[in-house]
Amino acid sequence: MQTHPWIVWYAVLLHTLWACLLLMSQQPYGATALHVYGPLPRPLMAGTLLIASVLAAWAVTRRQPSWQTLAALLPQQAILTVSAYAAAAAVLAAHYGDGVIRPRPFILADQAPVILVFALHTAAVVEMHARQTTADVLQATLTAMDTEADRLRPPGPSSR
Amino acid sequence: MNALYPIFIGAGVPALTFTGLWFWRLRYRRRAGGQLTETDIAAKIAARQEELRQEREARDERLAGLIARLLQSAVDARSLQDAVERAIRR
Repeated sequence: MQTHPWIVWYAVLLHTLWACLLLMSQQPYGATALHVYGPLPRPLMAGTLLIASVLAAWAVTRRQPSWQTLAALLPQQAILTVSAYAAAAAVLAAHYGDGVIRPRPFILADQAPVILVFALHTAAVVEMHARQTTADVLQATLTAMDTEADRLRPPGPSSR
Repeated sequence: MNALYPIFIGAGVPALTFTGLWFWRLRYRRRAGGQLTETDIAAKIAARQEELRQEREARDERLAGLIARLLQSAVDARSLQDAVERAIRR
């Protein structure tokens, strides 16, 4: 794609790291953003995170946005959404996912990145797919006109 | 019941993103239908160029026919002139 969706790459790296940590240990489930996935088996959750990351990486390396790239980014967005929900719920409940009680501003300050990543990721997905950029349209138009002009150009002087 | 909230939100937000973009695209396409986009203009230019090319080919063929008839007339005139000169000499 023409833009550089760094927030998607950030999510790819984050989820890959989470997947690796989950494959090694049960302890990452204690983190608020992952605690909500606690009922799922670790290999299943790690596999889901890795698949979502691979799909997102595939989507952002395509030349043009399409319905396929949008669909490939949605699993990652779903995981970020649930993590952001868990963070917001922790702020409202005034305790982390693992039960540690802290003041709401403390938890909000700590969990704000998770919520912000979700918001920025959604904005990036929408921006990438909302419409074709003017540059794309002009490029396609100029290519079509060049092709047509070449076809209509009279033949040059014949070789002697 | 609480476990349903993350599932509902996790599925609902991407679904909303997808449907929102779907309707946005449809609206954009409808709006673009009223006024010509760059692609439409390029297509119209290409169609007009094709039309002009065909007109030029037809004109060239007609001119070639005229020139052939002109040449034939010149040849006929020349042979007629020779015949007349021969008749005068006799």
